Amino acid sequence: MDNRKVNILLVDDDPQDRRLVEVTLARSNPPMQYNVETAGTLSEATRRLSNGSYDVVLLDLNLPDSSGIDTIQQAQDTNSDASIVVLTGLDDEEMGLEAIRRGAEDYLIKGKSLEHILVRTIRYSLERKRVRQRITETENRFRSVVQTAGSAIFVLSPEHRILEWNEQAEHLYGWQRQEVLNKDYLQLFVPEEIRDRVATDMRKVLSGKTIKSFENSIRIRDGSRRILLWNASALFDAKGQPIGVIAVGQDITDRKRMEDELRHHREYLELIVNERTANLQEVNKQLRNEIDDRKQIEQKLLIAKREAEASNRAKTEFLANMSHELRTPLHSILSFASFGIKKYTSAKPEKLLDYFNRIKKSGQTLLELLNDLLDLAKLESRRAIFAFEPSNLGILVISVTNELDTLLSERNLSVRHEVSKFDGEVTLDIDKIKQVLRNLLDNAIKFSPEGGIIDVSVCLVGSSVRVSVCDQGPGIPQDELEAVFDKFVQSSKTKTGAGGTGLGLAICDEIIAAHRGRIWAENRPEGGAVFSFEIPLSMDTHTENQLLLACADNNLAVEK
Amino acid sequence: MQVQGKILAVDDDPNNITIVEELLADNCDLRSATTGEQALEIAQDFRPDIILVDIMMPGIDGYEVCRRLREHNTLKHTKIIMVSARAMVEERLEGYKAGADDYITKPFEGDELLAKVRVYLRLKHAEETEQSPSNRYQEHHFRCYRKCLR
Repeated sequence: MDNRKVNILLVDDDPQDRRLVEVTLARSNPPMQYNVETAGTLSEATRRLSNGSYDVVLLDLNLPDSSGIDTIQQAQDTNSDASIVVLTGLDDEEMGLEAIRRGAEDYLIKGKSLEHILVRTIRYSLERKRVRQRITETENRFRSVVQTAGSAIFVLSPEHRILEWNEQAEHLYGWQRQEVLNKDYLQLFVPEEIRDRVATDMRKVLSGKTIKSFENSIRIRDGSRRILLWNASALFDAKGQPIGVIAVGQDITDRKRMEDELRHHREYLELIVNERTANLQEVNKQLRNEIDDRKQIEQKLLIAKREAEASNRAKTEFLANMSHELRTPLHSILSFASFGIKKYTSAKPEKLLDYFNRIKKSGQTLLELLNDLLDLAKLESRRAIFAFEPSNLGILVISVTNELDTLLSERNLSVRHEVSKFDGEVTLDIDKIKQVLRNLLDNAIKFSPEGGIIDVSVCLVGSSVRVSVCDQGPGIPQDELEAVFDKFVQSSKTKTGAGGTGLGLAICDEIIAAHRGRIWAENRPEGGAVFSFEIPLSMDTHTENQLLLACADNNLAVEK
Repeated sequence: MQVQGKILAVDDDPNNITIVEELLADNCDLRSATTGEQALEIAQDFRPDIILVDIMMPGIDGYEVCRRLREHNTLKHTKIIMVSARAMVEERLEGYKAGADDYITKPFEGDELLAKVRVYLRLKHAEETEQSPSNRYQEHHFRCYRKCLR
């Protein structure tokens, strides 16, 4: 205690009593510095208390203008921070205790060893007041901190009763402090489905465990739910016994909602990205397909272009060949006619006859060439009319051989037939097949050595019939076996002096193709060539057009 | 019409050989062949001044006959006239490329062939005179003289 003077207001209407107190204070050991003022009535006392600054009020409860316990109340209403020590009569200790309950620091009984305890009572009351003030200050400071904190802070008893409830809690839960004090927190705010879990957690906290950053949801006044992030720890009394739980909660509902929104947004974005990726992949795929299609078209165009070029080359080649084949007999005709004109007076008639014969023969060659050309043109443009009917091929072979009898005799050739192996009927165009047979036999006659034998056979091969014409001529070079069927191509071995137009085998090829058959040339091991063709025994004559299409080697329109 | 010279006619068509014979046999020493191979064989000994050769023949064709003649030491100065029914310009050019001196297309006028034969006989004769030993001697002296003048 500092050494400043203690200001005392002595409120007593009895001058004797006042005197006694003053004397006692003066005699105190060690002596204290007192400044004592006195008041005889409560009204005077309250006036002084309102204006002055006192450390202690020694208050008699029986004053002229007030008596009993209410006197304390009236003294306190002055808002003075002086410690009130009540002076009571000898038999009135009950009154003293009541005064303490009402806010007095202490009480003294007048006349009873006052001199021994007055100073001590004043000192103790001053000391107690100072301690209480410090506690109040500290408490106010902490209360202020708790009240103004941004988090909801409350204290629960071990039975979940609410003991403290700060402003933020009021704001968050929508319940005023006064409304919730002593209410069961779990019943009031914790949703039923998690109530047991929270109770368990509280027990854990009471046993000394601290909960940090724990999330759960609460139900607030309007029935909606909020999510809070909790820190909680136990409160202990002086003996270390748990007396409650202090919980600090932060509302993270908005944060959670934003997090959820962000997550949804992210998921949505991922979804969109996935969709777009899928779309892009689809588009990519379509583009790739389109590129492939275009490549295919390009390829087809390229092939078509090559075919067109080849066709153009073939046309030019054909015209060149045509020109050559026409000029050759024309050369003979014109030359021998010129010789005749020049020499008709001087030449012998035999000579002139020779010229005429040569002119005639060349003219015939020219006619033959034109006929073959027309035939081929008709066949190639699918304008040739075929009359398919069942016929006996063996009989046709013999008939054609007979036609060529004169030629055979001239060359002293004989034909051996082997037609009995197959005697059935074949669907064919009689005239066209006879043309083929005539051509093949004609060739065989041309290239056979004098006195040679030509073998002609007809036999069944699977569902087709095969006709082969074998000669004893020089044969055909291996690399020309296919080319001999081309237009204007004659085998190099047999070309000399053979005559012919170079179109005969090309015509045969077309006719056999129209019968859905095939024709080919081979060499016999023993020498000589073999020309064979195969045609099916029967075919769908009701769709002649289809047949012609099937054997067409280009896309010319089919005309009837 | 006097034409002196040795002519070889090559054609696989007997008619064409007959035509050349009608035109030239009276005035020339004329031989004939029906294939390229045969023509080359005859030419070795016969040493013709002019060869009238067809193009389209079995075996080696007229172009090939031409090329082989040009490679031949003693026959490379033989005049070659191609006689063909192939009339397109590319075909004629191919003939010149193979080494032919001239080209005549069938059908031709007999007189034109005779005229060509005459021209080529004269030309060949002139060339041979120029390349004779006495001429070559004179040429040598002329070169030496020019050398001295420099």
